[in-house]
Amino acid sequence: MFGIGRRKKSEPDGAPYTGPIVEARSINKSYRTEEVVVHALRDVSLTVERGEIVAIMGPSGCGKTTLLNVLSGLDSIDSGEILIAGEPLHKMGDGRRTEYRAKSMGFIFQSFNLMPVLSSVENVELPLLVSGVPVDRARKMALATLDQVGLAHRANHRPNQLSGGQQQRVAIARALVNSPAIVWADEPTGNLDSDTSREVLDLLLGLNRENGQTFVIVTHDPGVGSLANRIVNMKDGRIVAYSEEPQREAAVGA
Amino acid sequence: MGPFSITVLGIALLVTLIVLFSMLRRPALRRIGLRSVGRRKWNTLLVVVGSMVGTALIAGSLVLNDSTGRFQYRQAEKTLGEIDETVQFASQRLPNDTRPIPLFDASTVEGVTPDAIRERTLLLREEAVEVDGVLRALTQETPAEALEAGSENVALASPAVTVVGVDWGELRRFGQEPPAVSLRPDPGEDRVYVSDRLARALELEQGSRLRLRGPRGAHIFTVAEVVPEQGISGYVSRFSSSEGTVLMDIDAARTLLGASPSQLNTLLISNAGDVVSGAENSPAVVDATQQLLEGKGPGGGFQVSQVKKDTLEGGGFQIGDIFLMISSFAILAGILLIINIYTMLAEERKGEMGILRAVALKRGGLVRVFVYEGYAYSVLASLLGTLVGVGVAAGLVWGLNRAAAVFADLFNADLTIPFYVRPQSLVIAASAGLLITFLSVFFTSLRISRLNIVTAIRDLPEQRPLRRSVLRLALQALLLCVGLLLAVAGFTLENGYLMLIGPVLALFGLGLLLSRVLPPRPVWTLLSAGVLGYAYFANELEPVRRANEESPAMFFLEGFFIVLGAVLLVTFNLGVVFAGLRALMRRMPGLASILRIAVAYPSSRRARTGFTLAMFALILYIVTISSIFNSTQSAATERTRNNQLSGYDGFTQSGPVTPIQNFGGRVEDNPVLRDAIEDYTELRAGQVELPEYDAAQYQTPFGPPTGTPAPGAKLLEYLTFVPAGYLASTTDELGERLPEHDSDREAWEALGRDPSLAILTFPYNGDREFLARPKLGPGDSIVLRDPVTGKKVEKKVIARMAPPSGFALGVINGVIVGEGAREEFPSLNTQSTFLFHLQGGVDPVAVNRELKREFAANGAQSFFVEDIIGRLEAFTGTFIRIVQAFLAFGLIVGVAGLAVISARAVHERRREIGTLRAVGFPRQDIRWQFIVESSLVALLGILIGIASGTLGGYNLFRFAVDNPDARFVFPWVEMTLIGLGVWVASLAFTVVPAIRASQVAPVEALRYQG
Repeated sequence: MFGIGRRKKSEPDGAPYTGPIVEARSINKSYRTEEVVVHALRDVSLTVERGEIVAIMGPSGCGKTTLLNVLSGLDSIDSGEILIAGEPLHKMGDGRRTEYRAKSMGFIFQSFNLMPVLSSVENVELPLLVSGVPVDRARKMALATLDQVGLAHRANHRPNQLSGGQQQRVAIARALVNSPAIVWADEPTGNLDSDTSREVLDLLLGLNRENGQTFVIVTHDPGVGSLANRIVNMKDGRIVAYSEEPQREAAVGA
Repeated sequence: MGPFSITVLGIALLVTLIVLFSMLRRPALRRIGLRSVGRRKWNTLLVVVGSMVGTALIAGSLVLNDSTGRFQYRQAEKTLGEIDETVQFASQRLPNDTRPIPLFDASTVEGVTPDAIRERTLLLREEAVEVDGVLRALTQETPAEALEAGSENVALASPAVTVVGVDWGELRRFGQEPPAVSLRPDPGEDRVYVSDRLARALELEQGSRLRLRGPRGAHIFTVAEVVPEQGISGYVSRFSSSEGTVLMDIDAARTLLGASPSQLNTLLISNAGDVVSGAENSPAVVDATQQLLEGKGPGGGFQVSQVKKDTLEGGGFQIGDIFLMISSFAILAGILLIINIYTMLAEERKGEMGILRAVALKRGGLVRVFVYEGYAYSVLASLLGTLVGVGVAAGLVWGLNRAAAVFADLFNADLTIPFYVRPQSLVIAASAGLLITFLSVFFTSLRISRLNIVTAIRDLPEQRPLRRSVLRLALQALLLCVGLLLAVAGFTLENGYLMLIGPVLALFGLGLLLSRVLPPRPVWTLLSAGVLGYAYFANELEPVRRANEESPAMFFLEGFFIVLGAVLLVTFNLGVVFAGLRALMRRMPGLASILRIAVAYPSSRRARTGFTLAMFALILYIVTISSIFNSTQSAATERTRNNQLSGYDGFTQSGPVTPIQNFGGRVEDNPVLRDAIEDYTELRAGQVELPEYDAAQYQTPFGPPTGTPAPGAKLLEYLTFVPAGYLASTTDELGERLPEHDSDREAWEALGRDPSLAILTFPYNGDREFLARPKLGPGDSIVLRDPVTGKKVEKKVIARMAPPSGFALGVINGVIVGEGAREEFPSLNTQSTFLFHLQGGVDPVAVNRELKREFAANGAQSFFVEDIIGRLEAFTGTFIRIVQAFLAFGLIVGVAGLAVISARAVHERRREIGTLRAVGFPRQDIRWQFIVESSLVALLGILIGIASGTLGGYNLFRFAVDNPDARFVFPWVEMTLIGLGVWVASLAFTVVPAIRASQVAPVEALRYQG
């Protein structure tokens, strides 16, 4: 509903945007401490097509989380361009970027990052409330999304009353509740055991298959990579390799 | 220094030695601990300022006691000097009694000598107490007139001055350092020394002539010299309205007071030592002297009074104790603040602490690091707090002097409290402050040292251990048992404290145990309601009520439990409290996301919310009570304003031996008074005996200590003759009257028609709360005996007056009869009171000035309802403002507390804020979320404080206000303004943390992945 395919800027005639959902061109990002400059991203370019699951892999400190942060607008870049559905994210101010995230992006974190003081359903409805959706409607949508991830019966439980897998499902529901154009996932199975990881990945695959949901996943786990359409390998802040062949066929109809 | 102070100082010194010794033994830990003090300057400032409030309040209260103590010391120095005890023949005295002090023969007390007293104390106490002087004296309050030079005309007069007659030779040997006046020449038969205060009042100087009126007539003396008030030359009895002292030779006094050459009426005793140290031995000297005088005297006993000790102790009343009691709520809130501050510091340094633990620092080591740092803060806070406390006390003294200034001219005395600081008060305040801060830090350090090394290093939320310790279970059970034991002991021994504390502790023990197996909300809801209800109704139990009357500690305990119950009740029912906000979220979707988070945190973090609510509530509790006290008092005064003084606007009274002749004529001749006074009526009153009642059975609890009446002495009472004009217009209400009188007015007017009838004043209702009198009412009869002729007259009681409402200004005393009854007591010595109505719009102050001038020679005093009530209101109002200003200082605790908690929340919630920012919360929403959250908690704390303060105030009103017409008044406007002021101040201090929260970057959400 708040998808970005209907953006007018890139398609002045009003036609749905049909280009890549993410286009990153020669982006650079560095961090400065008092004496040292760390080049986290060096001349990185990347394109993600609609309905794809893209896995970003590489050793620790290679810059994959930084790449996810800048692509999602959580962090800024030093140079280059980032277009999300044709919109220049790198030119947006903080307020616009925040609004953009609320309406068009979903996030899944390794540590789930649920609000401990809210119940499952309250966590899920947060992105809706911040977008101004009326309370009752937000609640209905949140419950429906929780149902989609198989946790309708845990709607009123707080995170500390849920298992790790259940918490991650709630986080997935929160990421999906506003029908985002893209979901960013940073090590979504990093805190889960293998069986639970499998369940969560099956869920993501199902959502991709059925809804054409685009996912960009940062992971260490080769198992996760094997489920992606494409794998992007990074080292020392650079993309060192793309998988030549899609691991699996991208979902259609997004 | 008392035992409590020595204990506090001792513990503070012990703690200091232990900490310093430990620091010396562990230099590495000392460096780590103390490093933070200098390095984190803002933190240090916050901690020191937050921690010093308690010390400042303690120091302020103690220095206030020093100042009032100094005032009492000066009074003792002026009016007693070397005199520590007085011996007088015991007699029954009425309030404001001006009758002569009974005489006795000097031979009856000749055994009372310094050596005899010393030996007797040795027998009684096994330790000799030295007495360095026994002085035989004659003393009496008499009217005095300053005469115009060269004539018998009276220039100025006073209704009462204190005449003291002594043998000059004995005076020169009295005390360790004889009174300075004794170095002057013996005044002889016709000359007197007058105190400087009296000289000012009657405009006397050396050579002036002074006429004193004794029982056997007037005598004129010449002023030998005006001398400073210094012991014997300033001697006046306590609670006296005497305008100063006239010191003369004992033989001259005998002539004036009609005593034979061997008679005295007072022995003055001086203990060895100075003004203060001498008084410490008074109880031993009193006992010894009582024994020496046992069985002496004609039919009655002697009363030995420890006058110096009573004056120095101010009758046991210390105003600073009141301030200490009200500040105890703020001190407790301050302890909560300190705990919060240190928990916040620990939160900030969690990573650092985790690393220290990881590199082999034991838990004890971590505690030491925090304790060293905390000790440094405690020392700084106690020093700063003591300094600030001195400033607070200076403000209090200034305020009290301003409040008391409204009465200065009425009492004809300097009521100024000097600002005085005793070094030991500062030491005690600093020690107490240091201990409070240090102990709070110590116990907080023990708690925060229990961290999980991994979660601390990775800055993850602390996980609760799954297994609950057996020790905790045992402690909870122990709490229940101890509470039950105390409760049983309290009810068995009828001990109010144990009756209050025991059940509350037992309830808490029970709650802790039950909440292990049952959902906490219903358990704690029931329990907190129980604590609240029990604390509120505990005063229904007689021992609790008694304890409350005896000590302010009980008031604190009750208040604490009421606040605790209310805070717990609200904390466990925040869902219900916030229900209204959920409705608001439906109506205003734009606010829904902010409100959702703002409500969720306080609801979820109950312990912290409870702490914050308690900080606000404790202080607002006592602020509310003080405001309610003021408003209730004002309402009672307003309500009774119209009934004061029997409906008259004012009265003038002269001394018994300088009566005003022809009051009406002189008013007519004075143009100012003629225009101001609409009409007047004259009441006459004298003292009669009630032969049916023994005085010993009806000792008055009111007024100065008057001693035990002689066996067989009959009750004395005022007999008031009221004229027809008064009877036709009085507004005095009758509590009970005979049914044949249809109205109060009819009963009053019956007195005018029939001189055999009488109306009694309210103390005859038998409750003995004001004056002890026999219980008599309509239909009873009362026999009166003229003390001079012995003639007995019986009166039929037709009514008894109702007790006055609140403050009562009245001139009607004892037994009231019509003017016609005067013929039955022709020789009764009476005193006249002229009651008058003023013309509308007249300024009572101007009329008072004119009356004083017109009747100066009669020593007349005038009082006006408007003036007295105005002064009372001004005094009460100023006093309450002082209390509130004092408490406002304590409000710093609440405001700082909220700021600390907000700052702490920003640190703790970085990742959650990052997540909110990641999922689309704009900066301003985060900012508002923090502000709304803080404002909700502050508002709730303020409301709980005001609500529980209202309960506490009503409780106090029910049990402490002994006035049937008093009305409980809640000061809506004042409390709304106070509440809003505190709320706005709190919010102002949370803006900075809110802005800092909004600046947390969304990438924080991803930074601390496990």
